[in-house]
Amino acid sequence: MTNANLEKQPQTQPSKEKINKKTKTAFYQTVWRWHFYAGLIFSPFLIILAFSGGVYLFKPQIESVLYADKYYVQEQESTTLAPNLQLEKVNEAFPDGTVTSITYFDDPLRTAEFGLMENGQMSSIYVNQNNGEITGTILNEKKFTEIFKKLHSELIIGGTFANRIVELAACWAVILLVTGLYIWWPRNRASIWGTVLPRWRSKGRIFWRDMHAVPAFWLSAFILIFIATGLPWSGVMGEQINRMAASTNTGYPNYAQSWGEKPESIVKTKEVADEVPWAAENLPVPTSTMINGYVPLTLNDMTFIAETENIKKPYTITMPQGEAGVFTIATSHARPWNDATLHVDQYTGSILSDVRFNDYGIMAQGITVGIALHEGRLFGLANQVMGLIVCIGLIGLIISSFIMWKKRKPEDKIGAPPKSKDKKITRIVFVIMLIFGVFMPLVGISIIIVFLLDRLVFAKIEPLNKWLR
Amino acid sequence: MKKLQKTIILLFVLFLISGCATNLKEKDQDQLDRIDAEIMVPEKIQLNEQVSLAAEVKQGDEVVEEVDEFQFEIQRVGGEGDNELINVSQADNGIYQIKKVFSEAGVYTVQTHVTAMGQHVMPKKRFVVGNLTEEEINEFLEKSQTEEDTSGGNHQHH
Repeated sequence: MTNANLEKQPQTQPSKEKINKKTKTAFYQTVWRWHFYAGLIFSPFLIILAFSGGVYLFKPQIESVLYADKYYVQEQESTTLAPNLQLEKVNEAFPDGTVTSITYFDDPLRTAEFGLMENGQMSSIYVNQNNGEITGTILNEKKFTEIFKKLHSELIIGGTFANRIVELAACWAVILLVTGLYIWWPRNRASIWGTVLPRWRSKGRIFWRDMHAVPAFWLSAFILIFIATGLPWSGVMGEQINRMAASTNTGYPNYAQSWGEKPESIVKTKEVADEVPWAAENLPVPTSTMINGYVPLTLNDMTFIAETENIKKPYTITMPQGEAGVFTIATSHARPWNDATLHVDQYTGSILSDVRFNDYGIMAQGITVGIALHEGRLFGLANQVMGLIVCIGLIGLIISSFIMWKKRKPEDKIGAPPKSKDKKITRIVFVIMLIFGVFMPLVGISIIIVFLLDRLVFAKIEPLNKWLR
Repeated sequence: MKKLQKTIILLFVLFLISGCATNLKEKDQDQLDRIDAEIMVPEKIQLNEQVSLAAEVKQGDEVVEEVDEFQFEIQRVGGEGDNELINVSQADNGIYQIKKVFSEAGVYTVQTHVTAMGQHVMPKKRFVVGNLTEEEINEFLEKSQTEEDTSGGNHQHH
């Protein structure tokens, strides 16, 4: 609008401004209501996620202390026992178990970790590499940090439903961030106090509002990063991300993951029985024939391959499953650029596939780096501290918002922000939320469910209806 | 610093993705491309009798002419550390061969370490020397169910 225009229509201007302001107020009220209800519903889950995540971040340090006697030996000797002999010791100690994998760590004082399947349960057996002595065993599900991991990914109760709830809470946290930033956005006062710095000397709701909004603003980008880097694990969004990566060919190449699909070994042992004439005639096979023939390679051969192929410790060798199975040598628990997954023919030692970080598509690289950041292992202690600040900050935000709400809440009502009278604006915001719901399907579903509940159930129960509004 | 930059860029890519590219599917090394060594051991080996152990390096059905390194590793199962490494530099009609006299009965393994065409393979074959009784062999077979061979990982061939 130019000055000339202003002069021409001096009388319509104020009313336009008034309408504008009214619209803005309606938007503000509506967004605040969304922020309020979403926060009220999801803050318990977000506290659980922040708490469990904050603990799990320090898994290496915590487990090193908790399991020091199992993880570490006192001194390193010049020679270590060959992997095969270590395996033999484990097999002797657990005759009913099956060793499924072996992990070697880069710390020379660290014991080797043998994954053992026994009676349907996975456990870790720690072996002193100097003499093959077993320093301890831990059932996988009893691992201290495993409990926090389960809390973080499936709220302890486990299963798909719990996992979806976690994802739902994470997605709603994004909406809380966006709506929160909108509410925080300085409108009336152009002051740094109450915007980027809290008004320390004020009391009551203003103080707690600042204790909520100001740190939330500072943390918002970090919280968003931690949510975004956690989503690739999730069932719905993670699946979407994977599909997007696959369709743009920016994802993981085939055989990139040790837990995924594997190539097959060319079975060599078969020919023993196949080629000899008596096998065809159903006569008993002489025992010497059973023993003569190709045999699968051993752990020694695999550690040799790992070394020559420049696989950085910590790496895990997974034993072949079945006669066409492969050995898998993989490392993915340190810095992402050292990631490698090799599948090796169990009879010839031929490397069937070798996928490194550089072979990943750009999106897979992003996801991999993001996951490392999320788990606090991308740039050492600073990364862990950053994660911890986000976790503690998030809990703090929720506490300050709770106090702020308590101060406003009347006895007999939930104390939601007043509903805007502008139906149009309410509808526009609803549509914006649905658009969020398209990108985050669980959010969309939850909005529709709540909408229907509100219309069909809550509205019918007058006391509840009154309390909610 | 570079890694940090890379990280930041990659994180952004996580958010903003578009475009499409050619098929990136990593094909696993085709079975035909893989090299292998076919190990030939006499069906019966008597004590103190000279026998030949041989191997042929192949890629699919083709004999591989250019082999960078070829080595036999012979070991008596249960006899730790006494594994014998024998380099063979010359092939005779594509066949790498050594003569050997075994003076101790038992179960042995012969492993070939082959480097050719940028690949490294190390297949291993097991065989019996001397007249082992049925029980002795069965005993061994039972034992080998739970444990693989116990060689000291003597991969000095590099």
